[in-house]
Amino acid sequence: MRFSVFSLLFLTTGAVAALPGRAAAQEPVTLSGRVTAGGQPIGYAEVVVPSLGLGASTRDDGRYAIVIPGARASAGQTLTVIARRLGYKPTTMQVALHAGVVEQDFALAPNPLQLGEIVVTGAGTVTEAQKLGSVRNSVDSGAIARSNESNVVQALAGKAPNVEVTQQSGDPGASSYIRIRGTRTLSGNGQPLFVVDGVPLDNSSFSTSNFNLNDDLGSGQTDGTVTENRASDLNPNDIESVEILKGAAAGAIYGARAGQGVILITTKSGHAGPTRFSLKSSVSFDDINHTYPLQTKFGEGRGGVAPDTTLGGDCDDPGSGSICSRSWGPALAPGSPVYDHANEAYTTGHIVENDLTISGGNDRTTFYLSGEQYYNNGIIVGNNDQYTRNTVRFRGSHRLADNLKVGANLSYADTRGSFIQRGNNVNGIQLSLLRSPPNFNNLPYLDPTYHLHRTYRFQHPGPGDIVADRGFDNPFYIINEQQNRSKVGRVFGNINAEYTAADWLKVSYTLGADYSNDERLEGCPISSSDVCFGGRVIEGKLVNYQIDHNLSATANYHLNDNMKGTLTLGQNLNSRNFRQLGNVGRTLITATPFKVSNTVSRDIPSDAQTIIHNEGYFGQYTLDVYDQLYLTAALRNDGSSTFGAQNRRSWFPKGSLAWTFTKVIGERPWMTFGKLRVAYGEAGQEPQPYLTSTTFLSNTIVSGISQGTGETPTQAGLGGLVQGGIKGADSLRPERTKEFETGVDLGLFRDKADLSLTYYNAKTQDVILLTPVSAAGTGFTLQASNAATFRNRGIEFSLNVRPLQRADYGWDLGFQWGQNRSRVLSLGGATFVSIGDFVQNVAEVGQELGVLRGIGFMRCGISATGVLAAFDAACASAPHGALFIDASGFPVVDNDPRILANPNPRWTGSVRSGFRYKKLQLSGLIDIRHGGQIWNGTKGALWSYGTHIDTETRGTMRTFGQGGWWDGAVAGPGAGTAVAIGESWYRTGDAPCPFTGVDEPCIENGGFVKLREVSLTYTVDAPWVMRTLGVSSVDIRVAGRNLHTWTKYTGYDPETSLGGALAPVTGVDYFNNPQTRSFVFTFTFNR
Amino acid sequence: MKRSLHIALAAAGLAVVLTACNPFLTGEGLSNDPNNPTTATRQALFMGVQATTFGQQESSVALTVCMWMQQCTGNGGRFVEQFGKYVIDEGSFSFDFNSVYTGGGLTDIRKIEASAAAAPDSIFLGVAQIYEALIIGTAADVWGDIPYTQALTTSQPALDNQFAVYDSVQALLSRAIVNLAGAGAGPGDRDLVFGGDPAKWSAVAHTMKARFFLHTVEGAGAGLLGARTAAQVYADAIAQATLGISDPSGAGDFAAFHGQATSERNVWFQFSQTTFGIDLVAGKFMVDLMNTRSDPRLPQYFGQDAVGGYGGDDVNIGPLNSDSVSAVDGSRNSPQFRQPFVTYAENELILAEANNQTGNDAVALTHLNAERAAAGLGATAGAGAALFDSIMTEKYVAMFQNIEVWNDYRRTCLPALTPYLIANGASPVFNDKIPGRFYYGSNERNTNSNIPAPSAQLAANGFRNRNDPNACP
Repeated sequence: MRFSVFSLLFLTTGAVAALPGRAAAQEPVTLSGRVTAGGQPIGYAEVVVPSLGLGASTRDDGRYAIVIPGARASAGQTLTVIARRLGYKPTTMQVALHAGVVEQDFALAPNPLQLGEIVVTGAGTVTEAQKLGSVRNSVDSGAIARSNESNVVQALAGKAPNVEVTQQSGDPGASSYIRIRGTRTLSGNGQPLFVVDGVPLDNSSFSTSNFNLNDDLGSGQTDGTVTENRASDLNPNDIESVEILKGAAAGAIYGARAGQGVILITTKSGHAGPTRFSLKSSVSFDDINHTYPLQTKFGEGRGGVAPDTTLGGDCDDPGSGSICSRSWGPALAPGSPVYDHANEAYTTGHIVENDLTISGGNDRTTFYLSGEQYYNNGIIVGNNDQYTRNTVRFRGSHRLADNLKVGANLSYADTRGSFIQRGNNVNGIQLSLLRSPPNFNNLPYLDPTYHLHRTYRFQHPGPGDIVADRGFDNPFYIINEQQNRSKVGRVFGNINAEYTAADWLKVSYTLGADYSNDERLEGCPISSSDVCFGGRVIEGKLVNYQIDHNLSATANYHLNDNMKGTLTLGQNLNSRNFRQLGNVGRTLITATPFKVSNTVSRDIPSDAQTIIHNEGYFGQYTLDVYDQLYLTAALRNDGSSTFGAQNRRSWFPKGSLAWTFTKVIGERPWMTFGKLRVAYGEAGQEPQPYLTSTTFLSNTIVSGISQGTGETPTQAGLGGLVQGGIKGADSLRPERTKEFETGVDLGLFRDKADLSLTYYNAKTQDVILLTPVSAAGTGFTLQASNAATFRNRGIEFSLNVRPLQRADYGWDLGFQWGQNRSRVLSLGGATFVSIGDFVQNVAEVGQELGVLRGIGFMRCGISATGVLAAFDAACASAPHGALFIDASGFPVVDNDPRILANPNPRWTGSVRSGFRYKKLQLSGLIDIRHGGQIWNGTKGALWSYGTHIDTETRGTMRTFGQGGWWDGAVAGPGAGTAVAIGESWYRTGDAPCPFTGVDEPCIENGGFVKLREVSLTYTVDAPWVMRTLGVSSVDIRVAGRNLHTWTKYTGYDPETSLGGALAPVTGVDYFNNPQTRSFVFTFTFNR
Repeated sequence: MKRSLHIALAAAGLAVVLTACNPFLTGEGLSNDPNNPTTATRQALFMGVQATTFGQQESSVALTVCMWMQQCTGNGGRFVEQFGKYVIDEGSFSFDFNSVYTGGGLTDIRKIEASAAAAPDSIFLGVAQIYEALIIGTAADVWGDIPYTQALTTSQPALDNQFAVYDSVQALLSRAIVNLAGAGAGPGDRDLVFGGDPAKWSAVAHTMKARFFLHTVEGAGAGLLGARTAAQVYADAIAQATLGISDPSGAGDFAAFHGQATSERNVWFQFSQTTFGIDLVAGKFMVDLMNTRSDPRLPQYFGQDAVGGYGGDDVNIGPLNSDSVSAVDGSRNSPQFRQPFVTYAENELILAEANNQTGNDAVALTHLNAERAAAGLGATAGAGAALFDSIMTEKYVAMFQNIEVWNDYRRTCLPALTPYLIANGASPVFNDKIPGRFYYGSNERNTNSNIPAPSAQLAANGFRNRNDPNACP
């Protein structure tokens, strides 16, 4: 007997698959045959008998078999049998039954336009692709697999126009931020609603640093570690398809939660037929995709003077030895050792993933069972940069009676992450790594004599220096000695029932739950600096508990053959309970363990709970006229505990019209299908909870100079309170987006191409702002109000071309292009509102959302006159925007803030191409972001520190406005004067933006072209595979992820997000961790 | 029949579930924040007011004054150095402006006052009024015209004339003195400064009255107070200071409370522990002056430099060898150091100055030497302008890290500091002068149309407050 990897599995699962339905009184009939397309067999095609509710799916050889129990079949009976598979036109055959085996083959035609495909549209409603009144963007399991992303959100990058996905960094488990058609809210994190199999999925993010109010002053996402976004707990291999409901017109059925769009995820399920096995094994090698440009010619010091680095010299007391802090020392002698700080902390990371899927079923019962192990060791050296995910999922359904089907879908995920701190943080890796002087060896990070933490500013720690400030922690001390962990256990799933009360009436019920427990640890070791002085431990716990109840009834009606449709009515109840409890302990008693109980003092615990209840009713009505005009109208009424008492409930209507005009003008060879669509809808964003209350706070920091300073109201053991800074708002309403969308979908040149063009105009009103209020007038600084109005409008275009389609080979190309322009129409009286968490990103009336309001240099026609006489004189005859150069030859800082940068891209797009030749498939995806500026504070800081590559040419004479140095018009007494660009510009001058507050020198273009995906797959399904391996086919795939980025951006990567999925704005780079690229090898065994 | 039964069942199921109950949206923890209280007692609020006041007197404003008065110097190219070189904008002190009025500031003080008045607790009311006077008076010192009479009553309160604010503060302190003599339990042990002792608070109120009188003396001299002369102002100051803090031991000083817990530590100390702490070093002018005087307070204020002496940095000279620069790390730089705000030393030196300026040099000398004795210095002699210089120089040293040093400098131009020059990297905005005030906070300017634009603030009176008609050299 040959060894078969699946023998054992057959034994254990065969019993499940073979469970009988109902005992058959008569002879059963077996319906079998082969499904092919272009002569090639098609696997995973579904063959169904709708009238009996039976079906099966084909194996890789295209064969299927449906056993019809004798009790339900009679000889001579004619049945309608449909074969379908995604990407092919469904084919219907009438089959006459007779005893024994009935053979029926199907030949499917390709269906590039997806006509007739069932599309999930949310809250229990479905429709067919051609009836949709709004643009459809769907992503199938193949596209998710090809992305090689473990985070389902990141897998959506480049898949649909105006769906922007930004990964926080390349850390294992790092969050991804998704933005659909521009930012439409400033509440929460502005992420779309995620719905999995009809149940909302928590996709929140939480930075462990946010447990620590003292050190982070509420801006924890800019330091500490990267965050996870909880949708990444999903196993992407379980996903069958993703529908992206863009905009209010598509998502209105979700009412007050659909303002940012809805991501509808359908997981895989079993099909009647033989039990299928699939084992996917994947290994990936990752490395940093771009190393930081650092100089290696000049050493530690200032003013060209090197410090005394001997024992007891300048560099053993970070408190006074500031000459040691910079790399503005003398040129390093040829041959003297330099250290590769750009690369020394990185190595090749790897990912190992195993995923096993077993699915199948019979005429009454189906099941799907999967398990995944995912392990990622990141690119930072050492073992503290890891992410593991173990998931299991069971999805099953059973037809209890002919008209009642019950099902369950349960998953468990165990997710563990271990991260390295970064960002604006002296205990973070990037700050100290990139600032290390090139002639300082960061290794060993423990002093050889006393085995104590040594850094470039404290090079010889003595026996009394276990607890002493080091300036910046040594990057290797951070990498090896810190512990930053997240451990998540999560149960997610639902039970559901579908009751067919009559041919025309179906009632569906889903009861879903989502429970997760996330335990966090952030431990700084005992010799850490600054806010971690003496060691610091943060232990925290997040518990998230959600229950969702969705009941709907759908009636089909048929007035006559030309007038038919559906009516759906439903109710949704949702309860979300979010609990957080965190403790910060300071000063470790002994070096280990990292437990709050092992610390000398503790901060006030972070202890908060939010409960949100929603209650919604919805109805949707559709009317199909002459199979060409499709009308949809829907209405939802939502109530939420977050709405003010005066506005407890809100209505959200929508309506759409789709017209297949080719049914009237007739199909032409060059246009086989044409549809015009118009849609209007309203959707909302509920307020954050408790903005309606004015409260007193005990844990707030009432004063302080900088991060890590301040007093709490409680002093000397006596409890204190201060009034909170936010004034309660009693009449908050949900934010409301009113969106109009129109477009056309065309099938061209005998379906060799299809094109979709969409225009939308969305006005979001009642946007909730924490509006500044006069502190002197009110005693508060902020109050939530439905103050602002934003507009987002844009164009989306997609074109798919299939120039070559033959049985043996094929080539297809896809282009996506999207442009969104936002505009702040009103802010309820304020001129601007700060929305950034690090620099001054603002919403400002008349501007795009999120522009940077910063400090620049004096420029003619832009800066105020009457401040500097020389400026006024020089600008009298200078062009608009000319840079003013004073007598020193340098520009002059303009103290009035102005709009300096726009982080929003001008347009985004992608190009996808696939080529197949017999069993070989090659595909690629290029992702493009054009424009969008980034505040590169990392560069500014490294200029000051003298480690940036730009500082290597120190002392070079440059003239502002000439020779590639601030090219453009200049004016003023110093125009044309050559000045030495060196320490006086980069360190003590205006250049280092994070320290001077002069933002202009750090603004860069963040546009990029990324080769996101390349994959080459070969399928081996020759008979020897079955003989030797016991499987029907093996897919061998070699792929690359983020292989190359073309960009002018000088930092690690233009795709960076300091705040990750927590940030409402992008375009800020400050010592974030780098991105990675991957080479992936995958074997998939199918049976 | 069976079919209609199914439909009926489905309809009944829907009807049952659709019958919603309203508490689902408004129950416990849903429409009210379950995490924080919505009411607070005056005892709890008073703790917050004290913590806020201590913080205000020890944070950004005091740090900046320390550097502008060249007692400290900023280094490191980051915000500390920028502030030190007069590189400020309307965002720089926005938080500090807001905190005058927000939680822990005026809004909470008014709640305490209302509650104490209703109780009635006259002593508690008096103590709260002293805190109000210090917070509002300091705000008028820093920003000049500020919202006060309309504060907390209208969405965009108007600015009160700075002299009117000082008049209000005087009236408030007078009421506080009366109230402190009244009945009531007072704050008791919740008073972190005096443990609820009304006599000590009363003395503090008198010293504060004297202080705020002096803040109007330059204006009186320039004829800005109508018929009121500088001599009358000095006479009022003497009258009040005579009733002021008189305990040389320091037990009567209005000084902060600080504890060992992280959030109870002296803010100067907290700052020295942060990553920015190393950016603040000793000011050369101050250290040189104290070296010349062999001042015994040197080790209290500063740490020894690398060669065992005391030295400071100076923007006009450029970064000095770090070996000869002291850190702001004397014996005072400890977590529990009680930062002094209104003191015996100040009271004596007010008496010395006012007597000297009204021709009583002998009395002035007595007070100067009383203060010097308490500080560990020997007696000195002198008269007239030389004595005035001695008094103000001693006050400059004695009031290290106190915002009052800036107030004294702006009206007397003593000690004779050389402003940081544009040529040496100071902000070009202030024309080689030490700035005379701060910009109003950006939050207030953005929400209150009564606040002039930064450029208008800059253009008015040479960026000096109303009480400072004459610029220093």
